[in-house]
Amino acid sequence: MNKKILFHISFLAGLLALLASSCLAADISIKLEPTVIHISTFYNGSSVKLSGTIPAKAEAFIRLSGLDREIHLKKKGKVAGILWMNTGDVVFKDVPDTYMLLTSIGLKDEIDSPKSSLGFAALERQITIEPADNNKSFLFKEFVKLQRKNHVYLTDDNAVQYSTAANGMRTFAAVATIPPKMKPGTYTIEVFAVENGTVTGTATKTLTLEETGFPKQLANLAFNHSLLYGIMAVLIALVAGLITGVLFKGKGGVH
Amino acid sequence: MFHMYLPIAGNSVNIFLIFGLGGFVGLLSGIFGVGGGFLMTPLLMMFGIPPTVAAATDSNQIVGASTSGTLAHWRLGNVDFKMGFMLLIGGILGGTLGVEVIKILRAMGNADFLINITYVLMLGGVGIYMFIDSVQGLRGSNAPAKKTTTPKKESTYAKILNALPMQTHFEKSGVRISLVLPLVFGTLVGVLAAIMGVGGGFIMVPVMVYMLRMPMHVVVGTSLFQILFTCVNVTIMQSYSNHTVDFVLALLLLLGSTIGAQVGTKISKKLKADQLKILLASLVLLVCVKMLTSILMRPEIMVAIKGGH
Repeated sequence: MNKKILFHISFLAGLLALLASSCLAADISIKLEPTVIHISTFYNGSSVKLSGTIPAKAEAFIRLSGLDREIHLKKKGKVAGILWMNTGDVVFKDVPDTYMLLTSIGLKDEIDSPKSSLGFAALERQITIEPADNNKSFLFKEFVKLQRKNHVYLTDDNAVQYSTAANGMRTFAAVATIPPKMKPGTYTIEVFAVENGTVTGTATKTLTLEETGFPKQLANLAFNHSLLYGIMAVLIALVAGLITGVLFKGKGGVH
Repeated sequence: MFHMYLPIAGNSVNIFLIFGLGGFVGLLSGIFGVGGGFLMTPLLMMFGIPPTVAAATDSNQIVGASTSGTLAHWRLGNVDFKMGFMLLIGGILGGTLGVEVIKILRAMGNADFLINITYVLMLGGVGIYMFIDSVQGLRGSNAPAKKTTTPKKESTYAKILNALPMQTHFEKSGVRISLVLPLVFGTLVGVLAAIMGVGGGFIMVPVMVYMLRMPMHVVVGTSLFQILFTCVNVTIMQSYSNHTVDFVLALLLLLGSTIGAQVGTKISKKLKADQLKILLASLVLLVCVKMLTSILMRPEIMVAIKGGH
């Protein structure tokens, strides 16, 4: 009899724990400010304030990624024993244009750990390389170096700040710097609550970058009326060259 | 505050930095009659412009800079239009041929190796020859006592030149050569330029000086005139086919480079032909050394985005 009661009690406790954890997972949230960034004539990058809640014992790992596409690369290697040059082409498929990882010191290892389900290792598993006989791991590492150099792949292991815990939850805050190189489009921002190396919950929001005003009109002309755009570019360059030439003559500089 | 967003390049740039960059390359263009593509494209890439956009936009700004430069040189009586047109026809033929050659080379798989070797050999050869020649010229002019009027023995090259058909007098250049010659050299430079992915000004200038024996000041003006047409063609083609011309970037560069080209033309007028040659030779050798270093040293990153030069 006692055994039966004990079984019921432990069953109920388990059920409560499960309910509690699912409730906590549901409470994980992320908020962006702003959610839309306008790219106007004098735009030089921007920033987004990220905040939300995670379980008090967890740490936040934030991932911003987007605009998956195909990237064509040239591989470099040794030719004739001494010359370093391009030795072939390689195509990376399903690669995000931007990949930003923001976290706090406790989750520092998740960024580069080969076992991580959140950092660069997760990205490496997502992409495919053609031709497939290439050394994927090596090329991927070199590609990440290249993207880091171009400031479109960024990591910061000291970006997330936490408030004091209340009701088993705590708030996090971080600022994501949006480099001017980030292309217009929609990006995904995810926050992962990580507790003892395990992801206990996640929340997602989207960030949109859109061109407005002059950049929008010019891009429209260049992509949708390309011949007209080319002729216009040449004519304006010609006129600018002529005007400068005439102006200089006016000042008596050229005889 | 001083940044501007470039919708085609997909990045923002400091307005004054690009203006200064344009001015610097325009100055070189005005002095030497080179388009400056071989300098501008790598510099733009350093400031975060994608290679394909850097190369195509550069052509757009060269249209402005070479218009301004040609105008200034034309006023000085330094443009040989007849020679320029012949070289241009050759250049167009050569460019078309070069694009086909590069397709075949790419299919064979060794294109990049050949491009790099062509680059280093051309730059090295032309640079060293020009350098030695102008040093000798400067020494000669510094020692006027040694100047004699004894005619030089006619070289084999000169004999071949005289034997060619369709001998024509090019008034501005003050030379009498066969019409075939600028056509052939124009084609050759066109092929090389297409293979190397540059305008070819820095090959065309030595060709005009040494192969066509034109006076240096006419060479600069005529080269700019020819470059103008090449770049008009490239700008329209790149805008139409690849959408890689960033007009805002080109305009910023233009503001600097057109002014630079005018100042350069004035400097060019003040310098002696041999001084001009030695400066251009040094510039060409510098690019050659940079190129050589880049292929002899292990790259920092073993992959690169495809496109550009």
